[in-house]
Amino acid sequence: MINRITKLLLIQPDERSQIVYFLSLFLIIGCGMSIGRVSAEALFFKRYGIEHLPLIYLFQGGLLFVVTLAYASYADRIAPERLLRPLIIILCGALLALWMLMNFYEWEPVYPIYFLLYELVSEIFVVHCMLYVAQNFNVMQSKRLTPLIWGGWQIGSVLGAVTLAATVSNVGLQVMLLVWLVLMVLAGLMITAHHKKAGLSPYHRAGRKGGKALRHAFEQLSQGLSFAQKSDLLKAMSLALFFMVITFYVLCYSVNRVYTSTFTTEAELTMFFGILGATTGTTALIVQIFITNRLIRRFGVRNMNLLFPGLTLLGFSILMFSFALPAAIFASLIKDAFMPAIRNPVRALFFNALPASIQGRSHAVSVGIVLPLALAVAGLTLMLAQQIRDVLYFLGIGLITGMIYFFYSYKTNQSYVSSLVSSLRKKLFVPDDRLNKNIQGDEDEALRVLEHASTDAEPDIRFAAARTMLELFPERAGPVALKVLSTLAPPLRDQLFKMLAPLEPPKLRDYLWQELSHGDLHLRATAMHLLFSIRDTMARALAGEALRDSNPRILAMGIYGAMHYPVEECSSVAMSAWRDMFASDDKPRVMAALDLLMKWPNTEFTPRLTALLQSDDSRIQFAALQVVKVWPNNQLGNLAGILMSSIDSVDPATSVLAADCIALLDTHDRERLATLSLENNHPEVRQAAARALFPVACGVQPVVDWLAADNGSPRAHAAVLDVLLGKNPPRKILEILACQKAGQANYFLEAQRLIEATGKDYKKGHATAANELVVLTDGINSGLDMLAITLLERCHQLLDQALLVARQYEDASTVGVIRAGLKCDDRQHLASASEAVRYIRDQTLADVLVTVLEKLSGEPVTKNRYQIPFSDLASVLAWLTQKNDPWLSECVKQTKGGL
Amino acid sequence: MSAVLPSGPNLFERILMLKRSMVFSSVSTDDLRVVANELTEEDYVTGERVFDINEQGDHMYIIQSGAIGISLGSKVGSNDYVARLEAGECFGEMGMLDDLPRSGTAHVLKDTHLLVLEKSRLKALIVRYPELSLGILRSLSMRLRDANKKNNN
Repeated sequence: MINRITKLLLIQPDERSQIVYFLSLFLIIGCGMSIGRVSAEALFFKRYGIEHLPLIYLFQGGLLFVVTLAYASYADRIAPERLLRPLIIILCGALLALWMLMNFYEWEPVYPIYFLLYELVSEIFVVHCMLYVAQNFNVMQSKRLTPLIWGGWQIGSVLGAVTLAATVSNVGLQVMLLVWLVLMVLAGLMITAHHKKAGLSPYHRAGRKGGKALRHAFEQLSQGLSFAQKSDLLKAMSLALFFMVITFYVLCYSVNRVYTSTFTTEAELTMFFGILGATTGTTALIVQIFITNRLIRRFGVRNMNLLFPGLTLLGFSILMFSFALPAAIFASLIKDAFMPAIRNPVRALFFNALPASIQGRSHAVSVGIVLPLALAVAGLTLMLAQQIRDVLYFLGIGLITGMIYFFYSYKTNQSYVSSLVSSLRKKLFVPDDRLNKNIQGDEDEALRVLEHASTDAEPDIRFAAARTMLELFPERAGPVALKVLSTLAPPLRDQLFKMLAPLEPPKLRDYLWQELSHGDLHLRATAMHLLFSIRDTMARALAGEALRDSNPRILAMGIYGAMHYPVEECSSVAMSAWRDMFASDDKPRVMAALDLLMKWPNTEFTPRLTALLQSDDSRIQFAALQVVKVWPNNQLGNLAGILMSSIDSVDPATSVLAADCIALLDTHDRERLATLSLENNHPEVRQAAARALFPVACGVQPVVDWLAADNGSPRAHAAVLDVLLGKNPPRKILEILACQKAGQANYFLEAQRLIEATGKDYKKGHATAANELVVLTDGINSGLDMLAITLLERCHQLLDQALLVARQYEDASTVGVIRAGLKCDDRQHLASASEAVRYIRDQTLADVLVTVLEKLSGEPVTKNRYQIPFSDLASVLAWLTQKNDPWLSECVKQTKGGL
Repeated sequence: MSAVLPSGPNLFERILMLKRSMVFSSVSTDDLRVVANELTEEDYVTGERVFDINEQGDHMYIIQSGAIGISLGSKVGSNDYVARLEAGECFGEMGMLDDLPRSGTAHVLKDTHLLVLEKSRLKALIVRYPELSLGILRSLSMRLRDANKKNNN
């Protein structure tokens, strides 16, 4: 029975106790508030007069500002449950004092004071309870459970209203102050008992402590205001709230005018308020528990945010048509049932999109500035409207402010997702792409940044700036890079010369000649090579000199110069020297000979090169592979075999270079070796293999076909995907691919859940056969355990790939932050990322992703419309066997063997 | 310490054990295959010490069977264990990542069979398979987040 109820109410088993607590607490507080509200209104309207209501609104605005300042002093600094206690104590003290004044002194102003107390307390409590809930649940939980929790408040309201209607004629209205007091004491005791056991609210992040409270309160408000200026969401929410408050209080005043003129005695009015409160409360309760959360999940927060403003406009329209009891009751239903049942939970969800550290301050701005100001404006407007007897005037004002409220609710919706993503970006420390934007947008600005960096005190930064400029703006980078050259140490200078040479900036030769007299041999050899390459006439004479040098690098450059110009008289000496170098056992001489072979491929040395490719020395092997990259095709025997063993080299650079050489093989060997290497453990080897499998000349379709087929592991797919994205495929293809990846993630997750469930049953059945190893691995069939883990990994890898593809056609920055959020194990961040996924433009993809993410987070699935191609362990294993994923296949084999 | 037992855990069981350790929990099983192959096995008898406090730490251990007590002193037979570790648990993993001496002594409480990973082997693997280090960093980052959360609470 309990299970059925919790399932119906979308409660997870581990959330039950927390829900029971919040429901009971809110029930008690809601009951107290309902009693307070009916008694305050009835006492004020009948003993003081409704004509004073606009003036009270003015006072209320001022008082609310002061009270909120006090509240804001502590809202972010203290855990919400701790702040509730003093709030309750102050309220109880005030209630006791007012009750004594009413009973023993019959002082007339006590009624507007009591009315004001209720209004202030209800505002502060609603805001604080929202904060309390937000700091106890993540976004996904909040969306599902907030309406239910606020349902507790509504049950309390109904109980309070019914109790009041039933007992008021016997006990009198004034006793209700004491009933409210007792209920608040009970709430205080519950809070203390719960947090003694459960600890602080899990998502509470304490703000700054210490300092003067009042100054801190002003700081809170000013920080909240300054954040509102920066945050489009908070700005739109504040403006929506401002016009909502005016609209709401005009509506309150309008309906109360109808009620006070219809019900003439205090008892009649109280009884009517009780019945009305019970009716609106019950409606709110039913809507909140059974409808709101489903509507939010079905239509999204943004659509639901427009419902209440729309209904308010409808209420005013009906009142303008007929200013009588039925229209007033309908309007009361909107403001007292739909506001708590729909508007409040939806608004609370919007607050979750703001950074947690600013949520309290944002609430403080709402209640401390926006609400008082709006109340004062509403009061003044109504005072002016009261001068004119025609009700159409203040109803007209309400209709206009209602329309503006609708407009700002729409603006709030527009800022919701961007704010959610921006908060997540900050929480995850995802950097913004300022430089990237500069490069894409303002080229001069990017160049200015890089030029500034090229004068940095740190040589590595100067070098990086010059290199980046050469890569991004080659035609404009020359002069800056040359300036940087003279400030760098020889190794960095050597690298920069090589990058600059193809651009041939005007003064490059002067710089190269300067280096020839430099002591650094590497730099001398580089300068010589670059001068020989551009056939510098003055450098020709250096070739003969270099041929007599004892250093292998300089000697190799001499050989290069002799052949490149050519210097006929030195040719035979050069060839003979080169042969000697290759025949030598001296490693530097062999390396220099190989380096020269790369610059000047000579097939005479094919046998020697083939032998060196199989050298045990990884540096020699690496240098030989560099030669292979520029070697004339089909001149090396058994290259496929050589590359295969080089890819398995212990030196990662050699592996990657060997993989790069796969592209040189004939089609058959290339495809065979590339397919094998796609499963290599080194990511760069996989990428090189993917490039070899689908070279630049290859079109988009073969790559798409390969990705669509069940070929290889997600890691292999990631490498091929990289190649595909480099070919700029059309958007339609990307959309299909992203959906396929997300759909596969869904299948893998379903398979994982089935395997996990089977594993649990299997372990139960084999518990008696436990041995030490079983205890050790916490599983009887290690294959089953491994399969479950691997499938979950596959699901995450495929989800990431789906988003990687989506990044190409959606807003890249947003999708990037979502990817980071989904990779994070923090439930709060995961929930925010999952919420943001709902609002990407590709809704087909969003639907699949949301389904997977709901399953991953243990949330009930909103739309599970995907057919799963397996139903039991045997069919899962058969399905997985078709996947051609080597590691997964091994896991399946092990699982089958262990069953 | 004695030689390897005749029947050790298979590759899958080794990977599962690594996956449960703090250092490797976020490394994918694809990458853990190469780490599992580098694990060696060692046996200790009751009363021995696997390592002493302030010793240079260059091994990480996974208990396959037996029990280990960690103390903050090196006195044999000390009952002041700050932790008692059983089969499936890991110790000495921080020594793999920093060069600081051991912060405690590992006492063998009952005959123990350990899977051992040497720091130099892990370093070589990281150079060869860079995605391993990303997984390890991710595991450490998760641990740091947990610690921050606990600290905040």
